[in-house]
Amino acid sequence: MRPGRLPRSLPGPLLGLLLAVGVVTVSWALLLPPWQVPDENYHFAYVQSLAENFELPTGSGEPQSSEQRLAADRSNADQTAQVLATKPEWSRSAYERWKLDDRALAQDARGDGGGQNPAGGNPPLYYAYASLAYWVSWNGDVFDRLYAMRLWSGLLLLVTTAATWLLVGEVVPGDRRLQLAGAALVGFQPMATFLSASVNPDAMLFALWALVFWLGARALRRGLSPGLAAALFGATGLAVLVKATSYALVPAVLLVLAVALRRAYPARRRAAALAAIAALTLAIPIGGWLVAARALDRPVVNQAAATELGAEGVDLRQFGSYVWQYYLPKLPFQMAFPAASSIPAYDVWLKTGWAAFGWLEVRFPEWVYALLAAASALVAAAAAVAVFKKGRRAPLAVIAFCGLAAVGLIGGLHWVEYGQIVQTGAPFNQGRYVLPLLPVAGLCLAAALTLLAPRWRGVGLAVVLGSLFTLQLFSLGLVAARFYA
Amino acid sequence: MFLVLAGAGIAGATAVAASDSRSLAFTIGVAPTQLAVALEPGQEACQEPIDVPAQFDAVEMMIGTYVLPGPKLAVDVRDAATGAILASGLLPAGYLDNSTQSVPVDPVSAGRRIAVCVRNDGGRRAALYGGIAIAARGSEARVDGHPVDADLTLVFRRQRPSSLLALFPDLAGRAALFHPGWVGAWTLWVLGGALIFVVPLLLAASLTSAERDRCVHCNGHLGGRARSGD
Repeated sequence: MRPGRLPRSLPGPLLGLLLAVGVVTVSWALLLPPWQVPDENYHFAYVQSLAENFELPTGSGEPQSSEQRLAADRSNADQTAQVLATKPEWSRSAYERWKLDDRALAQDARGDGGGQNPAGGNPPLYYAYASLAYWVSWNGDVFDRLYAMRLWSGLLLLVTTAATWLLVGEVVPGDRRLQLAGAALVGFQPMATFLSASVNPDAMLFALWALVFWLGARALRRGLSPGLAAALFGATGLAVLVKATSYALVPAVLLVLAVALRRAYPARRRAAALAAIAALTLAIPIGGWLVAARALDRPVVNQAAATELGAEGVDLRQFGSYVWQYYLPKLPFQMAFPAASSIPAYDVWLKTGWAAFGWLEVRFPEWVYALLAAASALVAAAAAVAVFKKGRRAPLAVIAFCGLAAVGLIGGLHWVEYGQIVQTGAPFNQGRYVLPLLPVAGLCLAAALTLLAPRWRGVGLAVVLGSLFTLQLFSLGLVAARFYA
Repeated sequence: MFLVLAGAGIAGATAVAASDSRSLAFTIGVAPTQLAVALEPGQEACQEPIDVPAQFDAVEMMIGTYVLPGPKLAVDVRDAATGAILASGLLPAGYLDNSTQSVPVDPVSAGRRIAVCVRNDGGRRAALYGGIAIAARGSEARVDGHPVDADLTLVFRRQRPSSLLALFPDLAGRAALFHPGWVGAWTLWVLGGALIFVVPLLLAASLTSAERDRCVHCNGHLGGRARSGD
């Protein structure tokens, strides 16, 4: 196959991986009780408002429809959320009574929600996507529609996995095993499957970020064609329409554009065309949303992201102290941040980024997280060594591109959390917020495996796949035991 | 190598499930967030109706005793429709304040609708923990027949625990409720089988295929010239 061409059929290793990820994702989607994923009740309500009334959630009325409230009550969803002592309803007769009462609901019981809810400030792209599954299962009951949306969302994890495969192939070409390792890390990472198999915009966020990483790396390695520019900046624009955190991608894709323009500069017309395509494909979706949000008199970002620090609230020294304490023990002269009393980088990024299910209350024993931390640190260190060993031959532009996206995302999250702590005293961050960077983690894993002699990479890959499979098995078992035993 | 590791993972998960004993029959889903009812000597609190999805032979409650040793409590399980006593048990006096107590009762079979009543047969006040009244929708708490603005935290247990592995059929049945109409316990069995047998085989096939397809000259192309990015 010629360089630069995409394959016409899926490579064998990727096909097998996608099928395996598909089985695992369906298992997650069907095993999880209704609305036992962070904010899934609000995301469902958003989709229902959009699908039933063609309206974004507004400031008036009930946040959830009568139909959803009845189903949540009878399945004991609200009481179960975050409380390990309670379980979903296990009684078949309670389920049968719910069916009777559901049929007796008034005609507008599906459409009488749509009031403001915590997810209401999110841009609408994911919810529009989920509405398709809602409409396909229109004639079913509320659970038919909820689970149809979950399965439809789960497809996005296949996109994320395939995009990571392509990303690794672009940066570390020539060895399918490295591609398989990187893509498997994304497709089998427990939090990624858990979230992608639920009604949650993170599923689409992961997919679009993975596509942006692949397209950006492709542009840096092969040059930015007009089509690639449209795809890269279009995907970035769409990611912003999923969640405002995707603004963190903008500096990174601008770096790609800057590199491309520098390379294309002698051909000024071509450089101008690339810049115009990039600007248009990025500006049209974002600008469209900004105009629409303004016209509808609604925020362009959700409430937490909208946390604003006034000029008097900005204390860079205090912010630096907060960031320090996020990753390292507090120094004697530093002011303690109540929300950062331990080491949040471990408690938040690592623990809730790897495995914290339900409404984050379902967790492994502590030693499992210590093991995951050690494995993560080992991969990161090995990837750094691999890059160091390559010296100037390392793909520095791609590293800068991924690094800029990572710094943008994590820096933005810290800024928002710092603002929220100053204003309300409550922390904001969760491990899942950094999961859009999973494709970069997949790339790091692939880079780490390059340290092994080629004949040993198969063994390394077997260990990676075996470990991820086992982690998935235990994660699903943990969830089954928490909700049904 | 991979299949050995995957097999070890499956064996490990099976061993953990076989050694993890569970005595929970079911709960009415009320978290113990507040003192729900105070029972003076002779008073009785009932929570009804309660569906029984699985057989139980012990009722667990969290009880406050106002620092003093707890009074004797009698627990009756009654048919919700007729009031006939189906099972009963006694909690002897002397337990600690704010402790969780399990009261053995006669076995009550699945499928019934019951009322659980707790009577203070001692000489001192006791309080039962529970949650706000909407915690258990469709069921309500009463003290001496008068509704109260709370629900009781009641946990129903089996005195002989079962392993998680033995409970899998029950788990599959529970997981099928409040799901799409086409999902049944069979779906969870099929998915469980696919996870244990199909996923490892798919991954093994992927690994084998990746080994076969790999470039014969690869020696760590981190940053090497792009050849096939597919």
